[in-house]
Amino acid sequence: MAPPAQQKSHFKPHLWLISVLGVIVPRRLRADWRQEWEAELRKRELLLADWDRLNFTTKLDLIRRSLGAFWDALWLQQLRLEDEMFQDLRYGVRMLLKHPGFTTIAILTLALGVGANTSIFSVVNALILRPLPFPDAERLMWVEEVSKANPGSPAYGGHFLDWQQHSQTLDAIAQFEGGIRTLSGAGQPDRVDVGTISASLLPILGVQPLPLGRNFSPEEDKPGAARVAILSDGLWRQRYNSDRDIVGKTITLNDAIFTVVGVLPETFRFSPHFDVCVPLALDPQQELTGESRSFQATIARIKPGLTIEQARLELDSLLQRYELTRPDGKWRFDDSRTRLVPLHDHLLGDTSRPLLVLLGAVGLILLIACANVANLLLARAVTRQKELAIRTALGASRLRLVRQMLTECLLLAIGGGAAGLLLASWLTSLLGSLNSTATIGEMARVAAITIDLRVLGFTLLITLLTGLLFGLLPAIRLSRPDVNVALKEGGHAHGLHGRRLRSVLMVSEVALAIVLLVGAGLLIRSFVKLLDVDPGYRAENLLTARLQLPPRYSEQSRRVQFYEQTLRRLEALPGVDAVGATSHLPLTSYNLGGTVRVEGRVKPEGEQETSAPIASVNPDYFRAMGIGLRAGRVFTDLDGKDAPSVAVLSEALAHELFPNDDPLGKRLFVAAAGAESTTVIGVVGDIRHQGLDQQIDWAAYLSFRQTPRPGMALVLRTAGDPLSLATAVRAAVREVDPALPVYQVMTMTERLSNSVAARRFNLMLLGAFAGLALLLAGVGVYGVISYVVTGRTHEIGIRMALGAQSADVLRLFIKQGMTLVTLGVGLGLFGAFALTRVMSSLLFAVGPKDPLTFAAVAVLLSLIALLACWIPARRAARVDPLIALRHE
Amino acid sequence: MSPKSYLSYSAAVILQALSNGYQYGFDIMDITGLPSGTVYPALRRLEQTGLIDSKWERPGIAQREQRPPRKYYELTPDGKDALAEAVKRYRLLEGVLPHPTKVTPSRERG
Repeated sequence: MAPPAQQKSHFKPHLWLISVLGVIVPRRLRADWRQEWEAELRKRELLLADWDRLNFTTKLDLIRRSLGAFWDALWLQQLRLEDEMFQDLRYGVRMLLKHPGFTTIAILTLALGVGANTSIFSVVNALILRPLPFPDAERLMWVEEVSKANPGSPAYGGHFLDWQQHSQTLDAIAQFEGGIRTLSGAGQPDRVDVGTISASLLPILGVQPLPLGRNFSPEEDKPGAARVAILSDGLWRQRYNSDRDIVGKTITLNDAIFTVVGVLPETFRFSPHFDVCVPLALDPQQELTGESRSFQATIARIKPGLTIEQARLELDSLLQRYELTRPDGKWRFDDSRTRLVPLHDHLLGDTSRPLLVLLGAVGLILLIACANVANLLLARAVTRQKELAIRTALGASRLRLVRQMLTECLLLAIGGGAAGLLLASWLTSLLGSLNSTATIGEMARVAAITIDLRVLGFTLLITLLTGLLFGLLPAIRLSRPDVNVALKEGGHAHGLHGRRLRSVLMVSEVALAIVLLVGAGLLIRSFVKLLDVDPGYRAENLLTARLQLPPRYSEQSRRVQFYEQTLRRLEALPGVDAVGATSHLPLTSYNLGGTVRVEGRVKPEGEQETSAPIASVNPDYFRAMGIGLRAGRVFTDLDGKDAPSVAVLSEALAHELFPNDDPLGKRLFVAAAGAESTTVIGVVGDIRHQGLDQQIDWAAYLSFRQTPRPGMALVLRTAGDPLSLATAVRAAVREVDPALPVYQVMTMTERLSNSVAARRFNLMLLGAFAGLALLLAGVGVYGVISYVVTGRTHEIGIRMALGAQSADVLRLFIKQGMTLVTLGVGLGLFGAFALTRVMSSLLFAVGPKDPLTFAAVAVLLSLIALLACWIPARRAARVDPLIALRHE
Repeated sequence: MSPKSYLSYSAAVILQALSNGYQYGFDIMDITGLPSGTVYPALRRLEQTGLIDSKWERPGIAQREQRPPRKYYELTPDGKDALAEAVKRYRLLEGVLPHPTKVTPSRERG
């Protein structure tokens, strides 16, 4: 055994390694760890011999063994993490529970931010990010034809048949058309949405096989084939009580009998919605010769690996070749070209812009929420300064303090995130229920707004990011307290740096709130202006209902007879002032436009004929709608079948056709009125047919007795609540024809309200977010100013002792607060000036830089901020100098 | 979750070595042939899961040898169960390691 002195005289690399490696072992284990290894190595050394006498291999073996300690030390690292993390978490939870007020406010603030973001993101996810619910949806294209005169229209049936037969770039192509027909038979007659579809449509959308029955066969999709139909799941359940034996049974559509061959799956969603599908059955020969001219919506699936452009070029060349094979005739599409748009983009339409604006808005809300919580943390940190100083003095490293504080912030963020998710699940179902084609367009039919994994991931991400965002600044700032100062001042250190940081946060909150408020303000101004628009008719106290006569009314005299009888019954109803009937009800779509040509006038070559919607109306229509007569007369009961053909023009159309002449007595050729010319007998006021935000539409009116149409809308001017007459209207129609359904019975105000639903939807959401921003900014300002007041209580005491008045103190703090607020407002206005450009398409009759909105928002926020400053400032002004002087 | 189900072969061999009376880290390395970078982390893990216990030897011996006291490991009742379980799985386990001929440290301690 060697004496100790001798042992120490040698450098022993194995022992040296252990003491070096021990550095990375967690501190509480370090001593034991070093001892264990050293003891083993020394024992081994003793068993062998004195170090000097050991041969090289043995020494090497000892070193090799000691190197293994590295892996051991490495393995112990996890204990360090677990340990300290757990400690941080436990401590964090304890700190948060100790300040329930602070914790609740912070979590609520974050929950509002996270909740708003999650719910808007769930909409963005459903509409923009998630692929359409069809297999290989990215290859589905919407096909349109365009030409010089035609900005985009459904494709010609003949082209479709040719493409289907010859295209090499497409997997499949399908056409369909929506329409409304009367479904009769068992139960009440009903208006149902009927899809006239090619047999290829359901396979292209991946609907195969059907849960009940089968798709149309290619033979059934040919003219003259047996009439067959496929029902939607909803119709099958509601009207046919989920009859499992429905296949093979018959249904009646517009008096024709169809055999049901299948039922669509419950999950099938498509735009437009179909209750019943029937085959399109185009006749190739008739399409080619032009005997039949049909245009339907077209969907194609391009082959994998091909570009849209490749497919478009092929369809174009096929189209041109097809046109060459067609006999010379009136209807040619030589200059037509195809346009392919991804189906997703087509269905999304112009919905993405408002959604992205909303997403931006909720992003701002989250930033404001972060700034608010950061401010709260800084405020609380004042009281923690002493604690942190003690911990630093006791040897806690700065990193450790930052980590401790970040852990608390993450806990807050996770609390806020969880509460936000709860809020979002409620908000999302609310948005889901508001999700209609009126609010967010065609995608509403296809996409379901739900919280899925991607939304959850997004929530988690923003939760962690916000935790870092609001936590990092205060944590770094607080981790370097000046130990001496903090301990001396007994926990009331108000560092200049902290105050500046809080001011920066407050200014940015105000600025962000201004941006949001300007956005919402612009939408509100647009909406108010929109509601101020005169539609050209009086919408209040007006009940509307639609009728569609089936083919058994193909004789014109029968149509006239039906409407005359119905109108007579309606006029007799108590509470009805006037009853109108029109083929073109405002705010409904129509496709009965036609050319209007002045007799004896030839348009110069290349100039388009004037084209306008041509409505058939009854004499009382103008009175019922409240459309004013400008010149001449309106129709009378005498303008019947055998009387000379007469027409009434809208003011704008009259001006277009006869800019310098009196239109009365002039003769026109109107497409719908037949070959004979018709005489202008009157001019009436203009209306906005398509909506308040649309241009004034030209309109030509014909007497319904001279051009009776099968589809008409009834308009009842009532003395009281229009809806109270709904039952009576249905009953009156039923008395005339029991098999005829009356549909879309609603007031004109409701139609107007629906027509602005999308704008109202955006307005409501952005308005709510702006209100939230205002609230948060107000709270933020209040927080900062009360913090400043608390910090300067002592100073106030001195000032007041030296003779300052309450008003001086009040002025001092309000001035300090409002300086910052003004800075924030200025920055915010500047930001809004740059950002509101993206909203241009959402505005109506208001520019994105509308000075009134900017000014109003600046004033509103300044007033709120003034209030938020005033409350703590007043508290300061009421301070008793004696108490204040004692205040530390 | 029973820790037994996670017993790797090397952990089983270490348990077997302990059961055979090799109670110090370096002795276990010698008898099993496993390197120190395997044996020590395995010992830590076994201790954490409660299959083995560690104790310091009495300072007297260490003082006599002018070195720090060594740490030795023992099977806990759970560890014994786990070993019995492992022996069923690795049939040869019981036979691979010899029993020590020298006095076991526990007795030496005695």
